[in-house]
Amino acid sequence: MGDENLQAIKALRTGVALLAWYGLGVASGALAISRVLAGIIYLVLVGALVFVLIDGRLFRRFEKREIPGTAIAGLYFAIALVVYFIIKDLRLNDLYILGQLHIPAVINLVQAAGAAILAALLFWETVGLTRARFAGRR
Amino acid sequence: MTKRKALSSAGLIVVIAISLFVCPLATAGSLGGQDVAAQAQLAQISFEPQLTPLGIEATPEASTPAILPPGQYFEENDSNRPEVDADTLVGDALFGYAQLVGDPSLTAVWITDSEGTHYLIVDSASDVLTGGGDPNNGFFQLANHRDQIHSQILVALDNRDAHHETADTFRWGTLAAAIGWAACAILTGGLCLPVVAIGAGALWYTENKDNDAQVQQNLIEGYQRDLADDERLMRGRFKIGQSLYGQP
Repeated sequence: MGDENLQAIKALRTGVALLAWYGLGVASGALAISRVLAGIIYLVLVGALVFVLIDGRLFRRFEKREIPGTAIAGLYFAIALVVYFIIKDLRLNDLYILGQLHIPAVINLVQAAGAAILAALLFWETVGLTRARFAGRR
Repeated sequence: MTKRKALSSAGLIVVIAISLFVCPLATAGSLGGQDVAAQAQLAQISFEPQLTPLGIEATPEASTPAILPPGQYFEENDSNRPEVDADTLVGDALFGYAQLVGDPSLTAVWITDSEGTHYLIVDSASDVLTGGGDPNNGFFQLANHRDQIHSQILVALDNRDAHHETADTFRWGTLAAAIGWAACAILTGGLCLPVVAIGAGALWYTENKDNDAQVQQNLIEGYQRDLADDERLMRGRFKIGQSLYGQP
C-alpha cells in the first residue's frame, strides 16, 4: 500500500469521525427540542458511523486503489462546508434567553467547537494526501 | 470480482447517504414535527413565570399580619418585606405585583434595575396599578402584557429552534454527501454524480430552513424590544408611586 492510499484512508477516517461528531450534535439538538424519535434515529445513524470507524473494513477497500483528484476535491469541499456552516450557524448571542440557559444554543456551541477541531485535522490529512499524490505522480 | 465489490461498496455508500436525508424528512414531517398551533397553545398554558419566593416565611395561622401603611419601600434583601399572596401574583421575580397576605387592600409592586429588585407597597386601587387616566400605563396592564410577550417569545423560540434543527440535519446530510463523494470517487473512479446532486439539494433546503429560522428570530427581537418597553414603563410607574407616597 502506497503513501497515497495510507493518507487517503487517514483522511477518510477523519472525515467519518467529523460526520459522526456533527451527527451527534444534530441528535442532541433534536432531543433538546423534544423530537425524541428523530433524535433516537439520528443516534442510531451516528452509532453506525462509529461502527464503520472502529470496524475499519470499509477503509481497507481503499488500499491499492488509485486516488482520483475528484476524491481530494470532495474532501476539500467538505472542509469548506464545515467552515461555512460554523460561521453561518454559530449562535453565541443565544446562550441566555429570558434569563435562562438555552440548551440548543449550548449544543450548537459544543458541536461547532468539535467540528472546527476535526475540520482542522481533516485539512491536515487532506494536505498530506495531496502531497503524497503529487509526490507519487512525479 | 473486484469490480463487483467496488460497485456494491459504492451502492452501500449511496444508500447511507440517501438515508441521511430520507430519515430527517420522514421524522421532521411526521414523527417529530411539532404543530405550531399546538405549540402555541401549550406555551400559553404551561408558561410558568420565574416565581421566586419573596423571602418572607409563611405567616402562622394564629397571628395577625402586621398592618402597613401604603408607601412602604423595601429592597430585595430586606427581611421585613411582607409576604405576598401567591394566588394573586402577576409577573415574575423581576417585575410584577401581588396582594399582601392578610390584607388584600394593599398590593406589593416590584421592579428590577441594575441595582436589584425594589418593592413598594401601594393601595390596591392605586394609580400605580390602574394607571390613573392611562390604563395602559398601570401595573395591571403592563404586567399582563409582559407575561403575554414572554409567552410569545417562547413560542417563537420553539419555532425557530425547530427550523434550526431541520437545517442542521440537512447540513449533516450535505457534509455526508461531500465525504461520501470522496469515498465514492475512490471506489468507482468518479461515477458519483447522484451523491453530488443529493448534496446540492440538501444545501438548498438548508438555506430555506435558515431563512425560516431568521423570520422567527426577527419576531423574537421585536418581542424583546416590546418587553424592554414594558419594563421601562413599569420602572417609570414605580417611580411615580414613590413620589405619590413621598418616598425618595
